[in-house]
Amino acid sequence: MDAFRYSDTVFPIRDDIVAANRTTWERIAHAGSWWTGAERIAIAAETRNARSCQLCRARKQALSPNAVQGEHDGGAATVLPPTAVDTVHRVVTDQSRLSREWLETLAHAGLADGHYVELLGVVVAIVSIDAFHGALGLPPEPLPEPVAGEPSGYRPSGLDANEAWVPMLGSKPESSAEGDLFPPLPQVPNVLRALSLVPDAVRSLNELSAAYYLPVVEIADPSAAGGRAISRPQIELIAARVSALNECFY
Amino acid sequence: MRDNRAAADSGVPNAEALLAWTDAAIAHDDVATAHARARVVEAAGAEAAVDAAAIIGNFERMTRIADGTGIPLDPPMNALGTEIQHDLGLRSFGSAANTAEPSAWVSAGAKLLAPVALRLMPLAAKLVRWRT
Repeated sequence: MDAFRYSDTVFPIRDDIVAANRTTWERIAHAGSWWTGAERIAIAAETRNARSCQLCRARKQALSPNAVQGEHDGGAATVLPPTAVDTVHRVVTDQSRLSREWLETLAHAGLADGHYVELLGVVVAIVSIDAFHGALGLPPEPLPEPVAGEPSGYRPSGLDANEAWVPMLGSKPESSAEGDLFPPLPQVPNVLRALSLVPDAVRSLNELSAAYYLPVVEIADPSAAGGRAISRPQIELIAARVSALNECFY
Repeated sequence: MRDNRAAADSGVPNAEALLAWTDAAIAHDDVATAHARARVVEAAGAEAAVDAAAIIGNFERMTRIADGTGIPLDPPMNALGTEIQHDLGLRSFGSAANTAEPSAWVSAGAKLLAPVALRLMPLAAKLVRWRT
């Protein structure tokens, strides 16, 4: 793959970051469980449109996001249904005001839980890689060309629908097909299980997190810093600040 | 975490420069981001800047996963973190509604066990690493 060459930057981008970014781009280009490759690329494109969307800016200023109606910038030219466009924009620009009630309206509007979780997985991968580029002053990587193919419709067995807004696998998945998703912990942190309705979204998350932050098995060890050029306290300081700026309680 | 001066006094190297960069990057302020990034590179080097930028990218992702799925904070962290949640005003965040406050008994027990838990965490992590 030719993406993420980083040939014009003075920054020494680690090989594992390059590899994780390229794997993510490949995954996004292919059909997933619920969306085609073309639709997943459209979700990625909409993620980028959201940053400069006037409707999103107006909503962000409003007391309630539902108080401002209109059309999202960029949404008209997409293959995605309007509900999906609106969902992408809200996750990108106003995620701290998402709610269970809002999510339930998506199901009524035709965006089922599997579609939503897969969409979320694509959005957060793009947000993450673009934020990395943005912080370093690098341009966004051009999105990949979609690969033809149909969604698998795969839904893992053993989902628990009572812990969060979306069904999640338990710490020990029933099927060996999901045996690679989680580390062997008695209780896997919820954030690692959150996307498990779409197992490939968890795989993508694990790959990106290992390169961008730390491998999952090192996170609980406060002395581990993954051989990075910044210390663990520096890592956690930045992590906490990003979480606070996003008003994320978790 | 929410106070730059406190962060600067925390003893974390280059805390103020790292936080200024983080703030600018999250705000998508290109001019401020470039200025703050230059400070970090000058103070800590280009490799450190790459690693710091990756952390920014990582937690832009993780926060949206948490807030987009409504997951509650994991019970042990919730019990151990009651004080810090209140000290930092984290319960004012909308997504705090996804996590019930632990009972006074649970919080008190967690406070007693916290020193032991903090000592056990690295050992448990090493055990998991060994098993994988």
